[in-house]
Amino acid sequence: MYPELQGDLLEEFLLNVEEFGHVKARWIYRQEVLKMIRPSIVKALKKTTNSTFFGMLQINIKLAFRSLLKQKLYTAINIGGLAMSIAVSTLILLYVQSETTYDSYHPNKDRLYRLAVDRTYPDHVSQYARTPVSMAEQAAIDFPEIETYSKIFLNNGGVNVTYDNETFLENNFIAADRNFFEVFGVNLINGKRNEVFSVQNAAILSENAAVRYFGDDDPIGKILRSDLGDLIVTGVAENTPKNTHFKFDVMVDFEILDLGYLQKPNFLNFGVFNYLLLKEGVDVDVVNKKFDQLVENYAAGEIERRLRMSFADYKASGNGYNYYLQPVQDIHLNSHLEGEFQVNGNLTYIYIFSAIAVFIIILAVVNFINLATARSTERAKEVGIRKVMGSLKKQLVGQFLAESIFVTVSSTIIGLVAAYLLLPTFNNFADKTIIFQDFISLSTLVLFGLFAVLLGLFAGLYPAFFLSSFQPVAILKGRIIRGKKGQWIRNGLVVFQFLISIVLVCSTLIVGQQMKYMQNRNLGFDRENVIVLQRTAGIKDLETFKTEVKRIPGVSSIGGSSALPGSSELFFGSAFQVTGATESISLNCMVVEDEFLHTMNMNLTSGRFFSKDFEDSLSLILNESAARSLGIMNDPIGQLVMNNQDSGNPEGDKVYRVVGVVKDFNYKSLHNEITPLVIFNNERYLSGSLANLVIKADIRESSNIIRSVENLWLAQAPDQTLIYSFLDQNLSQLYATEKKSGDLFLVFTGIAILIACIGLFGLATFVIGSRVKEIAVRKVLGASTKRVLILLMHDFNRLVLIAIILSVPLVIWFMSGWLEGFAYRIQIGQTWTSFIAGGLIALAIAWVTVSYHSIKAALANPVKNLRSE
Amino acid sequence: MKGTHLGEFQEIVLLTIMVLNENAYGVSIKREIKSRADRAISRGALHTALSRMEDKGLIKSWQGEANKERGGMPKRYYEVTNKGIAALKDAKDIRDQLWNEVPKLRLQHNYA
Repeated sequence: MYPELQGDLLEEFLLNVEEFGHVKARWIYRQEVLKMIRPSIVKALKKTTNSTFFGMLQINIKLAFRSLLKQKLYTAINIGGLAMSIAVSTLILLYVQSETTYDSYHPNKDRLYRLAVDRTYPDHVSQYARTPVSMAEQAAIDFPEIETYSKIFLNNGGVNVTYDNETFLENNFIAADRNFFEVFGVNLINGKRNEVFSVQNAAILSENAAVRYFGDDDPIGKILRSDLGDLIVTGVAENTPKNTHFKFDVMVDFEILDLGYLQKPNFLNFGVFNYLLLKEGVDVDVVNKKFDQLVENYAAGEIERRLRMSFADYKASGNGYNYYLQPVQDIHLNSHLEGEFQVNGNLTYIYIFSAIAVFIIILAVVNFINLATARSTERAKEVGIRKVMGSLKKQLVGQFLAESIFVTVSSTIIGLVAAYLLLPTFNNFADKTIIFQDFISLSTLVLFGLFAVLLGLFAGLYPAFFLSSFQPVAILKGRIIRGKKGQWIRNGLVVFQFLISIVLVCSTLIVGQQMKYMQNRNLGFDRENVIVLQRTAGIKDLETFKTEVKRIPGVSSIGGSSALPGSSELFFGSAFQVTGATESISLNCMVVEDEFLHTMNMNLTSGRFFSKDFEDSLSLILNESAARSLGIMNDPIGQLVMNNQDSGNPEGDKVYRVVGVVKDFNYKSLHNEITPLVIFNNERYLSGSLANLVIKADIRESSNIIRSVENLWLAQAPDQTLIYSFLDQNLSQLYATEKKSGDLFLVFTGIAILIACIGLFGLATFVIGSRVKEIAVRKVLGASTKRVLILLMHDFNRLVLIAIILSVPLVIWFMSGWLEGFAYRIQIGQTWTSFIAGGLIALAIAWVTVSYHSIKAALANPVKNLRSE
Repeated sequence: MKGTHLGEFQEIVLLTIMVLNENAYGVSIKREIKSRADRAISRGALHTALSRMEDKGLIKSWQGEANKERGGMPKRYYEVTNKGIAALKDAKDIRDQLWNEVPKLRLQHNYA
């Protein structure tokens, strides 16, 4: 500190002692000194001292920069590899972050749960995301732990909404309880929370929908025409966030819906999404345990009334309801039930991707270590000279660490920039809308900085100590560094890299095999050349429409049905009982027209299809599973089956005759087993419910056919949207998550291989570089170029082979877990081709990478390498 | 004019130095300000202001004699340079001008 400042302080202190006394004077003095800590004074302080630490750091950075510039290829490989892996890992991080933050926007997200059910049938278990209307309501009354509840109903197949002669099919059309805006974290932009449901036919639009219908006009009070009648817009809500398990564009009051049996108070029909908000501090398990009692109290009576059997007997025959609560934030990653809002994400993939991100970084670090040690021969002289000039080992370590930190920091910067630039492409690819700016904050930047420095320290540690431990005398004498000591580390690192690459390659190939298997599996019906029209219930004269469609050239047949393969939520449940049997079982049902089964080209095992020649209003066709469940597998045809009065059959008990058994076909996705199915004829049963038409047609003519269909549709149902699709595409949509993940897998695999190759390239430089003289001697003594080449390749083959052998059990372990998610899958034994292909790919890549150095070394003129000894 | 704008604190310090005439050093400046403006400032803040103004050439300083009372530490005396006086004058002129132009109306209005 300046002497005059010290003097002033002291003088003032003495004056203060006189004025205020010793104690206060000291206190003032201390404060004064503390207040001295300000830039103008401290800066002046620094000028007077000279820190060797900062000085050395400056020099180290300068030296690092110079030595990196000297070896441009090496630097490019190093920084490029690391930057690439950081970019990829950042993208994965963003992806994982966006996947794991689903539904975190609800105000009471920690207490909000969705009710789900495991429905046990005598021969299988179905898991449903939708539960009966009265469950949540009754639970809120009976359980003191529940604060409130809210229901959401999703109209599958969408609702047509018209304004100003423009019709949109709203697929995200939901009906909700009036407390929706209190329970869920969606905010109203326009309209008041307690008023939006004040009129009966109120509709609340999302921002997007409001703009779609009204543009810049004020939507409040406008009237929309819809399939459900006129709706008055009372509010506009902000768009549901991207990462939510449900979204909506139009919302109406649950009470105005006319859903018939699904909406009437009941405890049996899985129709709505029930959400429960628990009171604070309540343990979910306590609530979960209470649902059994709820079923016993309310659902049991309903079952007994409908089926005329005691609930105890019903349970004894293998039926059961196991209700449980799902934390709302877990739904996206952990819930894969039937009847979800949308295809949810998969936690396994999150783990896999995170692991890949870590591995890719490790691979790049391994490269760094490998390349740094590989260059030790070149840098040995430098180290020797430095040591002779008096460098301490500590200083050399510092220099090498500075170099590696410089590399990692610049790679991190490049990597982040690359990730930013690649994000739009990645969003497109992974079907996400991640915004980079959301992710970048001061804390993440600091974390990345810290990460870069730590990475540099970690990656630089081994090379730094390895290089700085050379004996100067030995180096300067010209002895070649053999580096036998570090051999196992370097080889181990390469094996590790190849292990990961091979595991990724094999896994990708197996994923591909399974996807192909699913695409080619005989599902029990034709999926090619089938055009599907949805929402055909709006057509006024269906018969005429069908006859006219049939006349279109290229169309061979057409048939209607209530549900389609792949749309599992459209199959309804109903209870059946073989006459004479005491127990009744619930089976999935669909209603079809005479021509449907023929159009889909399904196979009969016995009996006949529905036909115009017969009166089929009281006929049934079963699938094989259903015949088995009913216990009439041996002699099904002509059996009488009673359809008990229940939700699917409100008309009362009715006896049907089984006229045919159809071979089991996959009407759900291949994740699930085929479950029993009963097929009604539309001649009598629920004749209005044929919502879909399938058209068997020549797919080459599809554009013409669709144009003709469109015209016919327009004439018949002008205010209905025509929705057509191709059955095979609909079905592959069921595996969209797998497809997407498979594609991502492929990209990551490619990058991992690339990075592994860089590592191998580095190793080849080192190994062959240290054997130049040996090769020269061999050639002088008469070895052919080929012979030398084989010798050099041998080492690398060995490493790759070890990696292949180690990878096999890993892949088997990984992939059998993945395959278990499919009820219909390839056996792991069938995947041997993938292993061979994966191994060969790894070997081939290794050869190509190494060949550059090997061939160069083998072709070199031995004289050149032996001349200077 | 750039660079010679005076901060309010700087202005007070400059004036105080001029008032103290020959005897302007750390403690005396600080005490004078305390007694006249009833403003307790820390020695550190004063140092910052002084060294900045010295950098700008508004004041100059010299080291005084070593003094036993002060534990053998010398005093640093300050004096306002001509440039400093000019800057002070500028500041005063600007204020006077502004005061002159404040409309009388407003005063009347306030009293009305």
